[in-house]
Amino acid sequence: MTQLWKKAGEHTILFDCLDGDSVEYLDQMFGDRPEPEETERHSYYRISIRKGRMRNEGVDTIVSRGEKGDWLFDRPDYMLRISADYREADIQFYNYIALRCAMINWYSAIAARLNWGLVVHASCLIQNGEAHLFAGVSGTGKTTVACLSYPRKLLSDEAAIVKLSDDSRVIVYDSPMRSDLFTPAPLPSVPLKAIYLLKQSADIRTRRMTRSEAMLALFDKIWYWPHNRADAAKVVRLCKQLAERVPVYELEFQKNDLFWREIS
Amino acid sequence: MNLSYARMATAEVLEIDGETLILNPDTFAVTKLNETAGRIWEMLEERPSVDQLTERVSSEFAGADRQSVRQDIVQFLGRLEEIGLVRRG
Repeated sequence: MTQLWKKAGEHTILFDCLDGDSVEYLDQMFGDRPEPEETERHSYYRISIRKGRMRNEGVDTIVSRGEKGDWLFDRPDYMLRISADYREADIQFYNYIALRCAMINWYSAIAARLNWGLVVHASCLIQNGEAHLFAGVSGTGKTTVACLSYPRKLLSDEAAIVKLSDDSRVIVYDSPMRSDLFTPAPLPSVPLKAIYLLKQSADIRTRRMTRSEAMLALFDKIWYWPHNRADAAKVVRLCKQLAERVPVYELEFQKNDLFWREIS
Repeated sequence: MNLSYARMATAEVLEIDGETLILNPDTFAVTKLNETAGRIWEMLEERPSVDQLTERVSSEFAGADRQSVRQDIVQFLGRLEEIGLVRRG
């Protein structure tokens, strides 16, 4: 068994890799991001991981509760078990996409549990030291935006890690849970300036959304597998805070980088 | 039939810019209510009957036709019941 220390957001993870494949896949996911410092290893989440879950038909996740109060998330291409105290987890995965989704599933549960923040279905780029988050469900242009924005640095291309801090700041962390663009961000975290909800169009136009409109639109872009009423309520409250703290715009954009002139 | 309705006890209610948003934590769905609907949601705390609700809404929104107020309330409660935010009795 190989043990790997990794970080997601502000959280330290100790992976117990039960096979060589899982080491390889985690290396692909985390790349050369720095390992947590010794001082960050006092408190950690432990995940036992192995490849091998076979793909079945369908994509639905079945959520159930085990005898010891642990949570089971069973999807055709991965299985995630989270212990009742959320400190330990097991993952079996079929391929990289399945591992990424299992990690998003796990981390969204931890972030909600701690009332720490949200995992948002979004790409996020750094411009002048501030993060600009582009949210949208699959196919709306998150990856397109990320690719068109080169040489701006990327914090996420699929699952943005967003902290709602106690001092009212909103911080985006470099997300290892990448889809296509794996290069780590040059900074571990960046303050969030604005959120854009993507809409492909023949025009380039932004429209500031009302906070309630923004809250509803953002809620739809949050990664979270509901399993626990108290944490589901935390997620909706965190989403409200996000809509209140950061300006949210609807962004109509063409497939070119001219939208940066509109928003900068 | 003069049914009464109870709110889902675990629903999470949020106010944002004067609008009411309600989370059903079982389905993880958020529903936005307009001002009148938000007011009816508040009134539901006391488990009123449809007649009582009609009476109160009609008195608060002067000029409203009682019969159409009642129809709207029944329709609204039916919708809330469908999405699990209220139950009868």
